[in-house]
Amino acid sequence: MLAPIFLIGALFAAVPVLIHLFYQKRAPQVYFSTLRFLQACVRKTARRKRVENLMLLAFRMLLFGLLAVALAKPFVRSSLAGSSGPTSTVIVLDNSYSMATRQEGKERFNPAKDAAISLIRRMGPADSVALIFTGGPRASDKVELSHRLNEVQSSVEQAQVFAGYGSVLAAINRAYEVMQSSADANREIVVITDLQAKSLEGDLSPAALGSRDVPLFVYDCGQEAVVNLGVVDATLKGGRMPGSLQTIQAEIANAGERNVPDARVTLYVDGRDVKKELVNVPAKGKATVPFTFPVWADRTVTGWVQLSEDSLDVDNRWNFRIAAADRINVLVARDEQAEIGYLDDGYYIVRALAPSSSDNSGSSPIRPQLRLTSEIARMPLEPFSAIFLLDVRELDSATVAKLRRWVEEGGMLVFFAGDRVDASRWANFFRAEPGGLFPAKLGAPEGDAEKRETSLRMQSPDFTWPGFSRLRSVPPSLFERVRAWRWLPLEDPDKEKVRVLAQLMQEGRPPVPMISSARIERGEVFYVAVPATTGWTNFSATKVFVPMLHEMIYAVTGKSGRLESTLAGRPKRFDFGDVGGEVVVSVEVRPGVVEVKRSTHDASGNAAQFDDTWIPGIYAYSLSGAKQGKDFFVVNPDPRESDLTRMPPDAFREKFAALRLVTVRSGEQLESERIALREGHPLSGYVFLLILLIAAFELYLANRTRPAMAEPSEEAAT
Amino acid sequence: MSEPSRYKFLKPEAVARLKNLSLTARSVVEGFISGLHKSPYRGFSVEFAEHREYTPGDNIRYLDWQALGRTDRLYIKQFEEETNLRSTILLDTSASMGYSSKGGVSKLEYGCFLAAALGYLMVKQQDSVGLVTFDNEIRNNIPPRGSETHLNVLLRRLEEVRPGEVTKVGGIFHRLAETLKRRGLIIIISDLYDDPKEVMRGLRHFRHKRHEVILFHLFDRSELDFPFDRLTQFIDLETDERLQVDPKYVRDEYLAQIEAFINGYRRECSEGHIEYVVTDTSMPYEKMLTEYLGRRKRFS
Repeated sequence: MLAPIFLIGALFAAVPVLIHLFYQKRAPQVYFSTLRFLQACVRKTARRKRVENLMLLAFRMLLFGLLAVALAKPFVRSSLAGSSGPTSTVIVLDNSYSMATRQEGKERFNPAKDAAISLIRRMGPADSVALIFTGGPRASDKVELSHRLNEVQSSVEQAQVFAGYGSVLAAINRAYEVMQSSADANREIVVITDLQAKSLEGDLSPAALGSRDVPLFVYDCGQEAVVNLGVVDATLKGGRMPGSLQTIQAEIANAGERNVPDARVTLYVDGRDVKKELVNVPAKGKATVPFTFPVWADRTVTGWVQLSEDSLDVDNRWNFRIAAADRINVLVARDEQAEIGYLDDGYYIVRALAPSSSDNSGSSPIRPQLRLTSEIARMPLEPFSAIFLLDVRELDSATVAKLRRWVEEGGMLVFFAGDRVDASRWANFFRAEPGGLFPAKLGAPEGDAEKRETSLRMQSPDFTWPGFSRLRSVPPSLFERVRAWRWLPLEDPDKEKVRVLAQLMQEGRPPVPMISSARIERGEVFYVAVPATTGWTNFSATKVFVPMLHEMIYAVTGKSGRLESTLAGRPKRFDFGDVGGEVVVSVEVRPGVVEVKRSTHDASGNAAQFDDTWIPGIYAYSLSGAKQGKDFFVVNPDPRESDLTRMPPDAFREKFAALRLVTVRSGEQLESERIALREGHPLSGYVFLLILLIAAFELYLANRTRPAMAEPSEEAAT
Repeated sequence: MSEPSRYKFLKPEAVARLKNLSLTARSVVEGFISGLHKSPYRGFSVEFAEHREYTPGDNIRYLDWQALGRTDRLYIKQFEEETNLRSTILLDTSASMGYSSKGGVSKLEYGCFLAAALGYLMVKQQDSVGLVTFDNEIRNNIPPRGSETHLNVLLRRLEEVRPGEVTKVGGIFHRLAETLKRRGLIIIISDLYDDPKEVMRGLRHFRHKRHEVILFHLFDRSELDFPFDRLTQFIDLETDERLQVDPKYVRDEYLAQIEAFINGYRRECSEGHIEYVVTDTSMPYEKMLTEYLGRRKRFS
């Protein structure tokens, strides 16, 4: 297609002819001594010169013509592009904190915002736009296409990065859902992101896969090989009693390609720096820095681990809270409550965890709560450090998702097998990542608990696992007294993902994993192949049952320093038992600036939820009307965003191969590619290239026909 | 001699440069007056030539007494007679000679300067000089004389010269060769824009009559370089023909043609023992003449 102006511009092709005619008439008359030589020359060279002149004329006309073509901005209309009607655009703006990484002194987020604003400014009044953030307070807002471009632009201008994890893939899926409401001929999704690998984990939704006609523009504003150190965890070792030594183990990760020697790590307790350490952090690796210090008072201690400044500041600080007098809350859930107490699936477990009293408030640091599995979907899980699921028939997808999130934040989840367990029903959460609760499939039950013809004996557990390391002194015979007549094994677990902590053995048979574990993000999930009751096994009735359970819980939930930290963007739940009310939260958002916020009420009145956890820091809170004093909770950046590793280009293209993907590296390129898809491919560049080639050839031809002058010309006349 | 500055084509500075030079004919020509030019007729002049034995009747005035004393034989001294040069300047006054580059002298003016200088020189050294102007016809014919009065006549005639018709050199030369009976020096000043074969035939005719011929072939600088670069309509000065040419396309060929034109004359003249001098009007004529005469003196 050509713009109409081309028709006018094409007249310029006649310019060389006019010039020729003009000069033909304006040729000066010069008297010369004789024409005898000139006449001979003309006779000799006339034909060749005429051909060359015609060629030159043709080239010059072509040059002017092409110049007119180029200025008319020609383009080839795309067969897939829509008409020049209104355009619906959904902009996905990655505002996770990896976008705060500084590149050449500027945060990645700045050009990202500029590109989005530029995009909106170029839209016409008939166009509509929707804005989706990958995270932050407005990430969960209802998104719909709007013609109020100014409002959307204003939202972009005010956007900030937040310290939580932002799933770009989830936002893309959402964008395609939003786009389904548009009937415009031109529809497009523009994603502005740094292509962080972790933000692109997951699968494309059916809505996305079914919308190949909607192009997906990805503006890649990230860069490779950025060295970034981040504190990604801080765990607490040691006793939780006043006066005991506390050991904070800070985990420093290096997502870059270079080793970082002598990184300075500082521990702050109650606002004062108490220790400094230097640590070498290998490329693409982690280093652990232990800080040991005593806590004398029976009170809550807050502090943070601080790294020296680098290209990304958000993840250089990890906040923690240590409450020396806190108990470990453990939820014990089973499908139903037995009428006779000691026949309940949770009977042995609850007593094993709190052995000395019936009200669960004895000397044990563990405080178990016995609930039904059906309650899990409704109840807050944040107060619990560990959850035991006993002989569960199935879990609905909402409960699985809720447990998954809780585990990811550092929860300890323990599955016990049992009569009700059906491998096919567990397949929705005992499966490989993503979204599962355990990365292995459940196999078929083995053995016969009725006839008891075959029994397996437990061997000494894996003492190298920290949870069982203190059980080295237990005689092996005590472990061997644990017998199983029936068991529910895992089906070929992946050794890289699943660790076997204890095995059942019989001569002549391969060992059967009895206790297996797998890490899921910051949490750990255990599977015990026998029930927590008697019948299949005598495990719950043996001497090693109590110590093994306690050591497991201490080992995992002993990292309570991290359990008491909330990741940015995740809601903070408060459960006050019988006392209800509003929670008043204050946080220092910037040095010297304290914001006071209030929580939302829970329907029961005894629990509250605080959602505004976008800023990492130490939050003080108190219950209005309650006599108890204020307490603290801490919010930390999601460590997944600290890993700035980008998705390899091939993997990226493969992942989005089903979509109409266009990747760009600048705002200008984004605009030109959008125009190319909507209106067609611009040809101006090619035409200018052709002009250059023809001009070069014309120059060559003109010089070839024109001899070099011996000296400056001098008109001759009599 | 009257003051040369009174004449348009004889400037004092040119005269001053020329007066110390002598035009010496390369070959011996006959002349009336003893001068610097050697006569083919040996006689009793001032410059000794050779001895011969005395024969009765010889004037004893020329007996070499010293030789008689030494050899006891009678010898008569013979002398080469110094004779006047009888030269004729043939000046082409055709229309093409009227051509000049912008701001320069025309070839005809240059030819007049040259003729005036040569005439002065001839008369100064007791030679006689004549002048013939021609285009397609002989326009003026002043026979050679050696007096200063004659030189005045010649110079005044030069001042009256104007560009005339087309060049027709060949026929003119034949006629003049027949007319000039006595051997002498023929000095031709022309651009020779005629059929070269005809021109050469005429020149050879002069040689046949045993004249010494010096040919000053005049060019304007722009005729040699063709410095035009824009589309131009050229008008022939002689025929008024018109030709529109883009010089950049024909320049190479033109220069080749001019070179061939000059080389043709140079070769033919060399073969015909004619002295051929390509003269560019951009070079001051007195300088050109000084250099030429100096060169000529060295080779004579």
